[in-house]
Amino acid sequence: MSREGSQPELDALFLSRIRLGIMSALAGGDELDFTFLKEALETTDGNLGAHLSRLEDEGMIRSRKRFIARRPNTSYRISEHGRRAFQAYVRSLAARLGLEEGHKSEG
Amino acid sequence: MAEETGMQPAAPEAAEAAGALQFISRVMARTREQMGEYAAIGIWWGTLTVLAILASLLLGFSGYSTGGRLTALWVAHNVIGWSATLVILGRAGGVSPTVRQVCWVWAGTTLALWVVIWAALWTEAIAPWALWTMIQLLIGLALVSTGTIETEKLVVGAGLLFVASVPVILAFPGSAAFASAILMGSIYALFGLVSWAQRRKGRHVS
Repeated sequence: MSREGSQPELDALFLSRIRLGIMSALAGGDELDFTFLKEALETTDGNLGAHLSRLEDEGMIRSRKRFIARRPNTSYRISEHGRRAFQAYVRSLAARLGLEEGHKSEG
Repeated sequence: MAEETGMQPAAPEAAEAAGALQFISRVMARTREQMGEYAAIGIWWGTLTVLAILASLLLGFSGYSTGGRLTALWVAHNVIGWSATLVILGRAGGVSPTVRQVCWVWAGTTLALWVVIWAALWTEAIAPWALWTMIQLLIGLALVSTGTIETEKLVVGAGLLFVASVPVILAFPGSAAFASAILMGSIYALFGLVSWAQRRKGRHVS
């Protein structure tokens, strides 16, 4: 079992397209807030919140809470552990397709 | 968008793996595209700074005085602009690492240069306005060059603004300060217009 988690664990974690989408967006960017993610993934507050919590519990992402113009704002960043796990997952997907060198979007 | 809201079965099959990879690529590309739009904030400011300083140089080489109150106006212009840029970036829902780094590095550099210039002015070691306008021009050019990597369309806007600025300068040959004030006013108006347009699109500040 790798440090990033076993393949079945990663498959289970990224089974949801919302969670996979969150990881993809954060891997493609820097720090994204809740509203940005909600619009990017076209999902609801409750759904997104649940999946963000799951990923945070797994140590895949980190959150930062603050107030902007007196309104609460939560932004998210991929953790180093999460980045490695995500890369491992992308590599495994590529391997299943026979693309051993990995996928370009792994970034 | 059923595929993004429901739980999918495990993807052992090649087709499902391909689908997942396509999904990942699509989300990453879309995120980067959206964040590229945030680059406009910093890039516009860099563009406007360059144009402002170019105008200042034009006036200077034309023999008009650009010291005194005009220098103070340029300094204020930059202080306000960079502060606003950094505040807007701080509030943005998503900012690309490139934009964040470029803006912070240049803001820090600008600040450091002001310290040097003010120290030089204090000790009367150098001719004041020429040095700092040249330095500011280089900073602005570097920022714009970096920014255009992400949003090439802004070059068109910068070109248009420059063309629009020339008649303003030529129209008031006898009063450099007045022309500069009008130019700065138009720059602020354009910056506000761009920010407003981005905000209307709902992509500026979350």
